Amino acid sequence: MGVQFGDFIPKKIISFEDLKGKKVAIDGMNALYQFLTSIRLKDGSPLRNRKGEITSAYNGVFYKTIHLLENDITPIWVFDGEPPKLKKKTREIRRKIKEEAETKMKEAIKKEDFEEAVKYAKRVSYLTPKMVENCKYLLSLMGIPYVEAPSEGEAQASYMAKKGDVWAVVSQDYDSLLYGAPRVVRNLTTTREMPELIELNEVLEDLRISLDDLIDIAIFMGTDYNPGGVKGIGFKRAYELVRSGVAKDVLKKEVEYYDEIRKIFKEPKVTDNYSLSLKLPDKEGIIKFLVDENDFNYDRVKKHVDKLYNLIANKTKQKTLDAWFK
Amino acid sequence: MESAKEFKKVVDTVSTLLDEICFEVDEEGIKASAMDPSHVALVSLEIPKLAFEEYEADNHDIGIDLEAFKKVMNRAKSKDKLILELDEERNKLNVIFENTGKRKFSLALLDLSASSVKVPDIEYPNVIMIKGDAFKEALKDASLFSDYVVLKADENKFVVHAKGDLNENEAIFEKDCSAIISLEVKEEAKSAFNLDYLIDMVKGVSSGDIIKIYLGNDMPVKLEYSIAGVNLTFLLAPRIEG
Repeated sequence: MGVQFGDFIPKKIISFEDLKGKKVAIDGMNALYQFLTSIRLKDGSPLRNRKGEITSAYNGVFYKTIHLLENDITPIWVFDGEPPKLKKKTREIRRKIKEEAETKMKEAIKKEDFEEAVKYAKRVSYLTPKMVENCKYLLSLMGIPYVEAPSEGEAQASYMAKKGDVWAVVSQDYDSLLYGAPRVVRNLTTTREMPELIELNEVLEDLRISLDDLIDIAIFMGTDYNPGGVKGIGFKRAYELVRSGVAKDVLKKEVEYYDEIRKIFKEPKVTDNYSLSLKLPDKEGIIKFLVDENDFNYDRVKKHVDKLYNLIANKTKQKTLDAWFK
Repeated sequence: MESAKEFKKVVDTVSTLLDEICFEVDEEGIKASAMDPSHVALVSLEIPKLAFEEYEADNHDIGIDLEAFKKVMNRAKSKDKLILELDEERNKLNVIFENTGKRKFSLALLDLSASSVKVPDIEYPNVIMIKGDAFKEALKDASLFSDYVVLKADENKFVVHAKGDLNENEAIFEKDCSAIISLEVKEEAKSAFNLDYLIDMVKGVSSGDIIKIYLGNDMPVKLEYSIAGVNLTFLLAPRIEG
């Protein structure tokens, strides 16, 4: 979810070519949710293994990562740690939306209205802790680095981009801008749309505001820490208030945890404890996990595992010991 | 075994590179060797029976989950003695810390066959013996700017060199500096290696330990050192130069 800046800020369409040779930090949770809602069978149901466990996220992590590497883009996955206390309300709202969707989906199935059922099925996407752990495990088998954020993944990814360790943050949400990420790329892990680049400097210059102002606009509109924002105030009104210099006074009065929320964006919990280097993949391990345990198609996985291996071997220039055992 | 705490270092180091291991036990001692899943690194360890205060064993292959073993070893306190005991009936390895009392942990045995991987017989032109902490610090320096390192040796010195996009770092060990125990160089050599792996390999090294580095041109590097009477050997495949 996050803050909805949508069309109010400047962005430009880019191609994969523009990201060539660059490292990007992927907002892991955001991408996994996307995979869960978009990688589905024709009837709207997610991919499952024979035990009935949902495997859409593994499919996305595996094939998308390889797709990015093929385009000479190195993805560094970043996952959430402990959420800030203020996020509790947002999480409750999300749970409620899902529960309602689930009820409506069941009703639609009863009425045999499958179009409706598909619509609601997509909203019922639970990302379980086990799925997330398995995605991390899959990435480690693939030799792809991932980072465990102490708190919000987007805060950590933005920090890495600010430091220059990665070129941009990849997320569908705009929150990374509020954390000070110099660049955010959208639509990189989806298939349908062209990637979009949003540059923080351009946003601030275009709107003639500071990052603090942008954070204030977001708090007016509603963030994960004050869902809904200030009633009746959208982007345009918030922008006017910021420009006229009264925003802070209004926010202090209207938003209960204003100072705490600002602090989450301005001084987030982040870590320097991460490695960005690729490792040669564990070919057998990947096949065991995807094919034997999760019923992926062997031929397709095998082909991609070999591709992954060659891509990483070329990139890291790492040899194996095999030649010395002959 | 005299010190559980020392043996913990062995388990710590090995578990950064491998998930599981098969110990081959016989009358003379315990051996194990395995490659990491991506075939980039090889770990081999040898615990001669002399490393134990008391040793009594016949032939067994003992497969162990190293993550679980590591967790148990992390509970070792500084004056604990270590007893390893195979419980064949229950299919467990008992790890016992003996101090004021006995604390026992039973680890499930894994069904692993002894690995056929042995350290290959490679002839190296150069052997460097260096103080462990000096080499370890040089690797940590190198990791500031790069994720790989070039190890170089000529008849006068041993060099650890790292180059990032903008910044560079070099640790130079002249033949007669105090960190170098001996420098036997038959031909000038250099090879490049992944730093993550190298740093993992020297994890268990503490001050006073000495590392033997076998180095050639575009060859795997071989590292040897011992902790608490346990001989550790590591082999790491090079990166392609360029």
